[in-house]
Formats: sequence, structure tokens, C-alpha cells
Amino acid sequence: MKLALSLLLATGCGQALAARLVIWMVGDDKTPRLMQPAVEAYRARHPGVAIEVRDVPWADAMTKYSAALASRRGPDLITASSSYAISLGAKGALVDLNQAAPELARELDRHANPGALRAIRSPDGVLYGAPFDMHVQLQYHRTDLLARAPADWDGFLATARALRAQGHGFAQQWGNTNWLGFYPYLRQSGGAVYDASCRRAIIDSPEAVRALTYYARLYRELQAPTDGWPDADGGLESGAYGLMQSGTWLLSRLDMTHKGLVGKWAAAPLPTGPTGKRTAVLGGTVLAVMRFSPNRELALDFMRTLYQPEVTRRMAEAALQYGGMWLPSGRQDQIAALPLPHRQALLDQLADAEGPPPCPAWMRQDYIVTRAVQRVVLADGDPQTELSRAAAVMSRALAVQGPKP
Amino acid sequence: MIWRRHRRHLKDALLVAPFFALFALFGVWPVLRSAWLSFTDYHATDDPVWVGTRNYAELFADERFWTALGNTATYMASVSVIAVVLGLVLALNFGSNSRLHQWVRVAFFLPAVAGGVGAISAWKWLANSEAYGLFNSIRAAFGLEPARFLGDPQWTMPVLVLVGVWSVLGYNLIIFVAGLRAIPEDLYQAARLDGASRWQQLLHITLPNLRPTLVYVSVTGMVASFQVFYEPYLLYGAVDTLGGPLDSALMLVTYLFDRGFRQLDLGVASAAAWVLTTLLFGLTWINLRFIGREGAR
Repeated sequence: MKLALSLLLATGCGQALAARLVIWMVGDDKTPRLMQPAVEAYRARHPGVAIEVRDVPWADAMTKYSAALASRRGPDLITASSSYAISLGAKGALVDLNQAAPELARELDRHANPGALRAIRSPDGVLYGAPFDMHVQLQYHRTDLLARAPADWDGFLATARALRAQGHGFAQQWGNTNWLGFYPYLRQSGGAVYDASCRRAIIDSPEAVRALTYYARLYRELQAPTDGWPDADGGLESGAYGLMQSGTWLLSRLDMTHKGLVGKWAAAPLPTGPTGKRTAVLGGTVLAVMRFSPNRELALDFMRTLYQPEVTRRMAEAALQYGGMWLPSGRQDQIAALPLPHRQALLDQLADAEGPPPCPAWMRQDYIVTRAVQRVVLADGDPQTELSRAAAVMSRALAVQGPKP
Repeated sequence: MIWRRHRRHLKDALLVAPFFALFALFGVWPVLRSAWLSFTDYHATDDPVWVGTRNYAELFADERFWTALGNTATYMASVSVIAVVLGLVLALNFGSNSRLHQWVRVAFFLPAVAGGVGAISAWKWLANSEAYGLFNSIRAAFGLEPARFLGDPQWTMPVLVLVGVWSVLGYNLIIFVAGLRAIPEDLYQAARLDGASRWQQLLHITLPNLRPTLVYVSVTGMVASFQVFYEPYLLYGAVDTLGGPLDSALMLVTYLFDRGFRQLDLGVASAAAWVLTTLLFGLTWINLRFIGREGAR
């Protein structure tokens, strides 16, 4: 929390404050500004409540949250990456919205992005938070080098090969050579990491093997960079890459950070796989109430306020005004009305996106899938062998420990 | 009688008491607490539950722990040896008060002052896979294909060692220069009168007299290398992965961080911390026992 934006509103400063609601948001120093419309709406209903919104850097979030949990003090509300929110919830850190705010849970069922909602709901139906914002992967390409982005797996390889012959490569940025980069291909081929009960790993299915075989071709045939986070946007500007895959945050940033790209790029959904699906990873954050919050009811009421359509709309517009992009995963119905760049590509991809496996054990097993992917991509391993080995290790651990985090 | 004898020390004790209180609170207590936590099942959300040595058994059965230990040992040995040898060579060649030597020392010491996140980010730029990364630009000048410095497990350790040596070399150089200046000039004059060559002077005067400095630089360098965290974390880590390609950048502290603050296995993380502490004690003891004893002899 190097930089914190405290939104202690001065209205009603003559009266004693009844309570203080503390919200920690993962992101940078601009992130708390996003909350301003929700804070204003909430303050109109609860003039005696002070609200403090702080930013927590992504890299430090779990450290801060675990320290807060250990001390039984800290924020009332947090935003947390959807990658680890379910793990936090299963460890008892977060309030179950089904129990605490059933009407809000029903509202989310109606309006939230289904993939985002699945990612925060445990196999036994516990809802550990509300989808807050989201990002998905998209294809970005140079329009002066490529008229249209490829539509399916075969088309993608053919297009990327042709670009490469002209000296323009391909790069995957978000999740490159780890489970997150592989996950869209797994889902597009009809595979999954776990069965529905989260008690058995099925990452060695024929669909998964097919996906990993294809994924490895991006590196073996197209010589895509294997860095953890290649400079794909810089490469798109320089022409080193003609085609790349990264997150939707670039939609609002590319023109600002790469002046040479203005008017020379376009975005498109991911290519479809053998099942006809174009599933992307759905990342982002969830908004959740901490179990130890002394202001649980106030915090839940803040959530109810935030998910009112008018409030989420104002938040999304506020984000655009400061050059960011906030896609309210809890009110996906609002997105179509926002003046977003490349909106249709975004909407098409949001309609087919899945979060990380909603299994509590995933957080401690994700590296096993990453290792299998890297053994194939970096060490020429055999997809079937590596995925079978991964599935065996994961299932063995699940048999011993159960599906707990 | 006793009270009167010790009364004059009361003021002194009161003056140092705040330090000892803070040291006990923020130094001793967390260490003792982590020792206890290493024998418990603890996830921060509920009270710790005693599980005996289960965390240590789990740790030693974890393939990733051994990978992290192997990587850390390789890194420590490489950085310690290279930084000590190069630091000594530089100190022997740039240890005078001439303006040139002073500037050389400043240049080598700069990374120790200006290191941190910014410097590692610059290294990331230099080593990136794109053809316009500096390292790859140099390779291209020689007609070589771009290398995946940050995406190929074979390059991970050389890159980390390079960054590690770069960041500590200047510090070692300054310490060695101070150590060299403490050696009495009379010894060299006497040796020269006896016809000793420069090599003989180095072997029989410089190195034996420099042993305390060597022990100090080696021990502190090994301890620091063993605790390396932010170089591999910033160069190879991401939100969804910490170990780099095939866990080739996974170090003991990175592993500890992953278990403790990403998976919230604070019991296992505490066990890993105690294994790390024990190894550091062992290494320091070996260093002091062998190099220190040789020095005394």
C-alpha cells in the first residue's frame, strides 16, 4: 500500500462517524478512484459512515491479506484476483454471499458474467464474493500486415506462418508458457483440469493432449518467445510481431503507450478450437467481505450499492475518463452501453470466457500444470506423457488431502 | 548494599532498554513464533493446530523444495566465488588513490547504491527476447539468432548470476581495498629486499593478511546469496507463476514466499524458513571454522 487514496468524505463532518468501512483494492494508485461513484452513492444512504479505499499492489496482495487475516484485523472488503479468491474463501477468509446476502447473490446470477461467477463459486455452491472486474485474452494484429485476424486453429497457424515468412512473428503475452496461456486451448478443445466434483484431475484427457500438442506448435513452429512476459505490444509496434495475444487492458492503452500503432491495429476474439468454442481465460478480481470484518452488514450493503446499475455504469465511465478500463463482471449487462474501443470483439470474447478452475486445491496445484506445459514447450516433452504425469500427481494429492486448498 | 552498587548503572540500563525491548519484540519473538508455527497447521484464518514434524516431512517430500535448494546452492556458490575473486582482482588493480582508480571504484560501486527494482527492470529490458533487447542486438551484430535469455531454463542461472555478481561486486571491491590498505607496507618492502616476485608477495603476504576480510566478504556474500529473492522474482515471476521456466529461477526464499503468501501454508513456509536458517548457520560455521582457523594459524 505504497500509495493510498483515502476517500474520507467531508460531508456531514459535524457529526460523529458511526463506523469506518475499509476497502483494499488490488491495483495501482489509480485504482481507488474507480470506487468514487460507489462511495458517493453509499454515503448518500449512510452519511455517518466513513469509507477508506486503499490500493494494494498485485504482487503484495496475498502478503497483505494473510497478515490481515492472521491479526484478525484489516479491511472489511477486499478485491482479490479470481485466481486465488476461491482458495481464500475455502480457507475461511471470506463471507458466503449465498448465506449473508441471498438477494445480492440472486442479482449476480442474473447479471454477472457466467464465467466470472463460476470462478468464484465452490463445487458445493458457496459464493465467496461478487465478480468485480474482468479481463479476457484477445488477438491483436497489425492491420497494415494482416487484413483480418484468423478465425480458427488451422487458420491461425497458416496466418502466423505466412506472417513469419515476411519477418513478423507471433507472441503470446498474458500467461505465456504457463497454465494461463494453455488454458484457453484446453477449454477450446473441450478439456478441463478437474472433474465437476474437484476430486479428480482430468488434465490427461485426449482433449487436453490435443490442446497441448497444438499449443506447443506455437513455439516449435512459430518460434514464439518463451519469456514470462514478452514485450509483445512493443513488438507489435516495431513490426517484430504481426499478431499477438494479450489481455483486454491493452484496448485502452495501446494508442497511448505506442504512438506508432495509432490507426494500425485491430482486436479480435481468439480463434475457435475443434469444438467451435473460442474460450479465453477470464481474469480479473472479485469483491468480497472479510470474515473478520466488524462491519459485515455495512460491507454487504456497500456491495448492494455498488451493483446497482446506475452506480456500476458511473464507475465504468469514471475509469474511461482517467484512461483506464473497468469491465464490471458483476453487471455484464452494462458493458454493451459503454463507449469502449473494439467493443464488438470484446463482447464476443466475454460471451465465451472461463475463469481459473473453481476448485479450492487449484492454487496449490497450478504449478503442476505449468510444469507439464513447460516440459512440452521448453524441453520437447511428449504431451501425453507429461499430462498423464501431472494428472497422476494432482489426483494423488487430492486423494490424500481431499479437494481442500 | 547491592542496590547501591548497581544504582549507578540504572540510567545506562534505562537508556538501552528501548533497543532491547524493540529487538525482543520485532527480532526475537517473531523468530521464536515461526519456530513454533513450523510445527503447526496454520493458514492465518484459524488458530494454529499442532501437527508435530508433519510440515518438515511434507517439505522434504516436495520435489519443488529440492529444486529450489539446488538452484539456491548453485546461485550462492557461483555468485560468492565469482564476486570474491573478481572483487579481489579489481581491488589489487584499482586500489590506489589515483583519480582513475577512484572513478573505477565509483563505477563498480554504483550498483550497490542504485540497485533495487529499477535496476532489475533495466536488466529485464536488456535481456528480453525481442531482437531489440541489448543482449540480442549484440548477438545479431555477430550474425547470431536471438536467444531466449528470460525464457530458456539454460539461460536462467547465467542471467541471475550475472545480475547477482554485478550488484555485489562494487561492495566487495571497496571492502577488499580497505583490507589491502591495512596490510603494513613494511612486509612488502622486506619481501622485495629478499627478492620476492609479485606473485610470491600475493601468495605469502597479501592473501594471508587479507584472510579476515576474505572470511567477512565470503560469509556475508553467501548469506546474502542464499536469501536471494527479488532478482529472480522480478526477472522471472508473475502473478500466476513464480519459478520461471521449468522452475529454473525458483529459490528457497521464493519457494517460501509461494508456500506462505500465495498458498497460505504458513506452517510449511515457517518450516522452510527454519531449514534455510539452519543451512545458513551451517555454512557460516564451516566458513569460520576452516577459513577462520587457517587465518589464525
